[in-house]
Amino acid sequence: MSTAQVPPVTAIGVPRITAGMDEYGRLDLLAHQEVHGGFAALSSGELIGLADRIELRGRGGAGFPFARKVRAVLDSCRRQDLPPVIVVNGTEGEPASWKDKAVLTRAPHLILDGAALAAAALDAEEIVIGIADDGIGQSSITAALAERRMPCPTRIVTVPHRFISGEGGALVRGINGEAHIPPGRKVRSSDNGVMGLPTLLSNAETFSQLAIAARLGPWEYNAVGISEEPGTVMLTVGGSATNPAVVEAPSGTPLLDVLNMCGADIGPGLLVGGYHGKWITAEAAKTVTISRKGFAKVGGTLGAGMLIPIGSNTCPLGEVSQVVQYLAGESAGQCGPCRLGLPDLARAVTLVSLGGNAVENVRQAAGVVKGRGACSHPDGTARFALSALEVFARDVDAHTNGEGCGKAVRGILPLPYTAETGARKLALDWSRCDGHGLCSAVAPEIIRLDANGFPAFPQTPLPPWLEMGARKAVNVCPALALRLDDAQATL
Amino acid sequence: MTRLHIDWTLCDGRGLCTELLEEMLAEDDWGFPLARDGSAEPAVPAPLENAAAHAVSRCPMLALRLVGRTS
Repeated sequence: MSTAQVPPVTAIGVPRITAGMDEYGRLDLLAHQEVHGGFAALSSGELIGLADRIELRGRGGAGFPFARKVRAVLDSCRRQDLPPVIVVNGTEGEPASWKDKAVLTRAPHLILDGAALAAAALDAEEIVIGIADDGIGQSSITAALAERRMPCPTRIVTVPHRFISGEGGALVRGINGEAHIPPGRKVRSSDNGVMGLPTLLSNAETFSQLAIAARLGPWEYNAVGISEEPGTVMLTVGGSATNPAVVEAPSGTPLLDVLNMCGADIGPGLLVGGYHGKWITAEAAKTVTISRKGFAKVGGTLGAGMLIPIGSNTCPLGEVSQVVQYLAGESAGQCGPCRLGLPDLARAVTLVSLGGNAVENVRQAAGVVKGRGACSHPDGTARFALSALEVFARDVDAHTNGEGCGKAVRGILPLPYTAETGARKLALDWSRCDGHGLCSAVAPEIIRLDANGFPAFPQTPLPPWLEMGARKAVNVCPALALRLDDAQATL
Repeated sequence: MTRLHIDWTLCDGRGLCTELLEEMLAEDDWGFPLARDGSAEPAVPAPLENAAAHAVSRCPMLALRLVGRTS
C-alpha cells in the first residue's frame, strides 16, 4: 500500500477544503494561513451551535450528527467530573478511499485547526490523531504539528492498516495500547474512551469541515450545497475512471457530473459507500445527486464518499468475489460466525463467478453471518455480496448457464495485498491432493472443504497475518500437495 | 422486553445455551448459537425468562447476557 499514490485532487465549484492545493501542492503553515486566514476560538456552546447550524455530520461513513456527539461528551464530562480527549480518526482503512489521506498529506493544518478548535472549546486533556501505518500521511501531519502550537498536548498514534482498524471502538482500543480490533461490548467512547476519559471521536474530514465553518460562519458555509445537508462533500472516484481523483463537490451536485469529470464509464453498476456499501445500477446512478438523501432514494448510501464505477471491460462477478475474499481475510477473527462464516460466503460468491449455480448458497451464507459479530464487518460484507448479485443479475445468469461474461478480471476494485507488496498465495497440486482435509482443520479461516472433501481457498494474495496459518496448512499436508507461492508466479 | 445478547468475541460455540434454550437458539454448522427468529439480539418471551437466565449462568465463556430488563 505504501507504493500507492494519493490520487490528484480537484473540486467542482469553489474549493474549500481543497483550496490552495492547486497552487501550493501541500499547504505548510504559511501557505495555510495565506489561503484560509485565521479564526476565532469558540466556547463549547458556540461550537455546538455552529455544528447544529451547518448540519455537520460525521464524514467517516456513519453520518452521526457532530453536535449531538459534542453534547454527549460534555454531559459525560460533567457527570463524571473528568476532562475530555479529542480523537481524530484519520485511519481510513477502506482500500478504495483516499479523501482523508488527501487532506492529511496536503492540508494537514485544516485537520489540526478543527481538532484545536474542539479541544479549546471543551478544555480537552489531550488530542490524539490516529492514522494508519501505511506511511502515507504520517510525515505530513508530523511536520505540520511541529510547525504550530496546539491548545493541549497532541500525539499521533499509528495503527496497522487494516479494514476494520478504522472502526471507532477499534481505534480507541489501539490508542489505549490494546489490540486494535472492535470491542466485544459496545462502549460509548463519549462515556469511556481514551484512558477511560470521555472522548470526542470523529473523522479527519469532519474536523476539517469544522475548521472551514469556524472561518466562514454558518451563513457563508450554508450558502453552498442543498439546505438539508449544506456545504461540500469529499469524494473519492476510482474504479474504471480514467482520471481517478479526490473530488470536493457541493452537496446536491449530480452524480453523473462527478463521474464524467473523472472519465468514468459506469458499466453495469456503481459501488457506493465502499466495500461495506451497496451496488446501484447505472440507471439509478443517472438520477442521483450527491447527498445522503440522494443516495438513500436509490437504496444506496453516501458512506465515506467512495464512488467506484465497475466499467464495461471487467468481469463484475470476478471482481466482487476477489473483494469478498479480501473482506473475509480482514475479519479480526474474534467472532466465530465472522471468522468461519465469511470464508464460506466468499467461497459461495466465487462459485457463482466460476459458473456454479450457487446464488442460493450466497444468500444462505450471508444470512448466517448477519448480525452475528461485535462490529458491522459481517453485515457489511453480506450486504456488499447480496447487492452485487442483484445489480449484476444478468452476469449471474451468463455465468450460471456456462457462457460466462467473456471478460477478464482487471482488478478495478482495489485490493491492498498484491504481489508487489510481497503478499503470497496458496497453491495446490491437484494431482497430489487426496482430500485428507488436514489443511482445513489447522487453518479453517483460510481453507474450507468442498462437498467432496477437497480444499477450497481464496485465489487472491493472502494478507500477512493469515500467512502463518497458511504455512501450518502447507506443513501438515500429508500428500505434499499444498504450497505457498509468490503471488506473481501463478498470475 | 428482555433480550438475549451474545458477545461474539467471547462465544466459542460450546453449545450449552443451544441445549438449555433450544426454544430460542439453534446451532449453526460450527456449533455457534443461531437465534431461531433470525434477529441479532432475540427477545426472550416471558415463559422462557427462567430458562434464559439459566443459560446465561451456565455459559462457560460468560458470553451471554440479558439486556434491557428495565423497560
